Amino acid sequence: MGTADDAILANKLGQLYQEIATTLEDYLHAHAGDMEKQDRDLLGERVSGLLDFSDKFFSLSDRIAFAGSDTAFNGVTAAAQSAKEAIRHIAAVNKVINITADVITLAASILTQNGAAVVEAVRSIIGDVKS
Amino acid sequence: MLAFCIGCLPGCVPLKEVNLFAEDSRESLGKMTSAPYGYASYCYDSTYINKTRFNALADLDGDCRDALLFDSLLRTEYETLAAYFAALGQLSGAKTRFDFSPVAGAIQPGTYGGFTITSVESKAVNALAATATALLTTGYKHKKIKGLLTRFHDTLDLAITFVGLHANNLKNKVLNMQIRLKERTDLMVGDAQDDREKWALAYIYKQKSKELAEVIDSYDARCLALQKIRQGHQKLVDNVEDLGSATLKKEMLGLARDIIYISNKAN
Repeated sequence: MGTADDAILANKLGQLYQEIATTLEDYLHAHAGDMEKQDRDLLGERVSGLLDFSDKFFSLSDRIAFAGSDTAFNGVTAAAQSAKEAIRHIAAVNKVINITADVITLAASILTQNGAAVVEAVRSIIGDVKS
Repeated sequence: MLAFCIGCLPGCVPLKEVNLFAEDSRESLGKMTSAPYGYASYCYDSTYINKTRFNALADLDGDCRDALLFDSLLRTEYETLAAYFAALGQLSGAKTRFDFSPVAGAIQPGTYGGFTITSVESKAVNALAATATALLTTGYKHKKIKGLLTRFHDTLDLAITFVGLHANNLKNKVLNMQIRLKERTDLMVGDAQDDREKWALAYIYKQKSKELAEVIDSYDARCLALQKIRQGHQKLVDNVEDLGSATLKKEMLGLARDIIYISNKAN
């Protein structure tokens, strides 16, 4: 049985004890008037005892889950990292596209002998390469 | 062909619903990192509600260091999950596009040496660049998202199971505390000397019980939101070969709406 299954089982046992406790509590309330104080107190303590066990199972479930969560959350971090790399790849391709566009503009400026545009296009290419 | 491609551009963004689901999941998980009532609050409450016998207030002081550590661990777990959905949202979003518009912008109408670029040709290049941006980005994203979903689904599912278990465990411990409070108050009311004492006990009980009921409701909503997020991720994996299907789009929109609605109730 895996870690998650153990934690789920502990949680289910906690819920089972909780249900038994509430059933006993309902019984106690329904018959409290017909009972001796001593019996009422005893059943009250039993409800409390069952709830103690229920709490213990929930705490056990938490401890098992925390103990086993490392692998799962490392995996989630790796998944986020993988998505970010894909996003970075798109950003890198966009950079290449920008440089290509500047190179085209530079060629057009040289062909039209537009000195100011040549200077601007060269500046832009340098800027794109550095960024 | 070009007209067809340009015409289908708005429909060529099948990841919009994936993006919406991822963004809503991220927002919902982000809110869960700052729950006002966590293990530490439970620990402080349980030190007096769960204690049957005491002689002085000092007897009700408990050691809540473990609870503080649990809260801190859980915050990190929710942050990790939120970071994953943020990345998935970014990858499926409109902002992550191969942008060919600079190339199109570089082709202006005019005469270049012996070549003349007419405005019709310039517009055609612009349109092609827009098409390439949409189609290439969609194709790339599909491929990457497919790999991401299939490779990491099991681990994500397990991680959501763990945080869901913690939420369910804490909710049930608070419920146990509420049952104890009722049980104890009832016994005290039975032993009360007069109506004044009974009323004082009832007043205290009602106040605390209402507070605990709100915590229980909030954790119920949290468990439900986590279940919807898990369900949504499973649907994406099940339909990974056809992320643009109309049925999936509808289901993802429904889940995204549910997640936001439920997570507003959870906080």
